[in-house]
Amino acid sequence: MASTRIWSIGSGKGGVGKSFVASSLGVSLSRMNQRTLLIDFDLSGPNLHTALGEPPARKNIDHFLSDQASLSELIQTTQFSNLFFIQGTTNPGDRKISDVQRLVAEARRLPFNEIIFDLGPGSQETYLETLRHSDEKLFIVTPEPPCIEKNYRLIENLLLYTIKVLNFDKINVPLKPVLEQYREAHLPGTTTFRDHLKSATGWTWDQETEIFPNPIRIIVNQVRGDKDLDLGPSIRLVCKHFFSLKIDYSGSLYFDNAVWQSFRTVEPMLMKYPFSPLAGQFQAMARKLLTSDLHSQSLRAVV
Amino acid sequence: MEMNTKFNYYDILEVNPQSSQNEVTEAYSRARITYSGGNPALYTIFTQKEAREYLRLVEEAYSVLGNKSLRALYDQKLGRGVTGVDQVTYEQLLQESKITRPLDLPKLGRLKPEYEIDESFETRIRAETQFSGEFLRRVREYKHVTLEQLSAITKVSSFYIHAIEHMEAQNLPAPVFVRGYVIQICRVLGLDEKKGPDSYMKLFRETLAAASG
Ligand SMILES: Nc1ncnc2c1ncn2[C@@H]1O[C@H](COP(=O)(O)OP(=O)(O)OP(=O)(O)O)[C@@H](O)[C@H]1O
Ligand SMILES: [Mg+2]
Repeated sequence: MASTRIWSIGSGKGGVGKSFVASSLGVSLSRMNQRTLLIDFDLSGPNLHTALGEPPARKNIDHFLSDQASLSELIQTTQFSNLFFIQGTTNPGDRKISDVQRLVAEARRLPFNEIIFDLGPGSQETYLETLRHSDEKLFIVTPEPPCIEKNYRLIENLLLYTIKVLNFDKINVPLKPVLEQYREAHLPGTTTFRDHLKSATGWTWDQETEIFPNPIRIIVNQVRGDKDLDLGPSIRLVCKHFFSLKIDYSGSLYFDNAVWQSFRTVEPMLMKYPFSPLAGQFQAMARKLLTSDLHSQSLRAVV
Repeated sequence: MEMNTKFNYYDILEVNPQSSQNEVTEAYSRARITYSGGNPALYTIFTQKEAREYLRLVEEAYSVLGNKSLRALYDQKLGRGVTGVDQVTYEQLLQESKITRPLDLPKLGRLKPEYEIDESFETRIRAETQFSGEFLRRVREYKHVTLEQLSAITKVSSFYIHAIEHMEAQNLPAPVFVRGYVIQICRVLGLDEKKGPDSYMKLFRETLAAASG
């Protein structure tokens, strides 16, 4: 089997639709004949099973993290033939970076084409480490300012965390203050955070692929009007001008009571309302994620 | 501080030298939305003041890239390594383009006179010395040109044309751009391309002064 692709679905904020996107993406991938595994790695309140329409399983990720089971022993089947999942844990525990590394390494050895991590909200290091190891990083943003703000913090935290890990021997100053300095005193149109980093630490990136082989991708969820459709492209432009970082805008998903209804009746939205406009939007976005975009990205990375 | 990212006009609009004029125009309208006051995407990244500065850069970038001949001139400069937005200005390029070849203003062929000639109004147009926004609007309506048609021909957004006609300085970019727009409007409406913009800009600056004073 070709190598496994790892996806992580994150957000700066809770309750924005991470589990909805993770489960729907899992369903879409499995329908495209990809053997897919969903892992609920929300360490604060796992709810992926609900979005997926499955009862909570007794065996969960905690059994792996506390060395009581191998990852493969935790895999549950679902109503979809190519889709499998691992239940999340309600035990917050004391998770370390090394636990994440062990989890990702073991996951990569499992016989799946696609593995999707549904993360909890925020930028705790366990999530940043999971994101760092993921081939695809999808961030869910809703049009409310607090959610936008928290996602900018997540982008920043992931950027600084990744730079630090990749250059632990070259950079020995804390990076947060470097970013704050830049925020205070930057000149529109002439400098970006990328330049400032160079002057403050002596290191900066030449190609973005040095930090993120694939760009962070933004999905705008719970869109309620056409004006909200401008949000994704705007976030992309702002990130380009501020950080000198290219973000991909993958698409917008409308707010639709169908999602809420399907959560209530514990059925996957794509199953319960396959012909709703939202299901159509999702399928279109999933196709884009899976075909043209990723291909052109990896081609560009090779050139 | 070391500065090595010199954004060029393409970076400002997030397009590239291969992008078509249509793509440039679309990117411009996205960039203008992004940096218009109160966009939630700016929240905690750019202050209102920084956003206004970006908006100015966006307008400047489009006034060059949105015009084929200025864009060609700019591309030549890029090829010679002149890149930063602080190294070239719209005005410089405009001056240079006048020296090397006449400015490629939009074709007027599509605008055939389909209006009824009103001799007394025609006389008034010829005699007019005060080219106010109101006057521009009256000529436009007399010639049965809609805002949208005028915008399609001049490539100036209808939002701006409306603001020019109502002399709403707060909805318009810096005066140098307004002047460029008025030149194009006068050309399409068959008004004096020198007298018109000169007079309009004089009135425009008076309105500006009155608003701030
Ligand atoms: N596009 C949408 N339209 C309508 N409701 C939605 C949409 N997306 C998500 N919801 C609703 O929002 C709630 C939260 O969704 P979900 O559980 O997927 O978010 P989450 O980010 O995983 O939350 P948590 O941080 O708690 O894990 C659910 O009740 C869901 O029904
Ligand atoms: Mg969730």
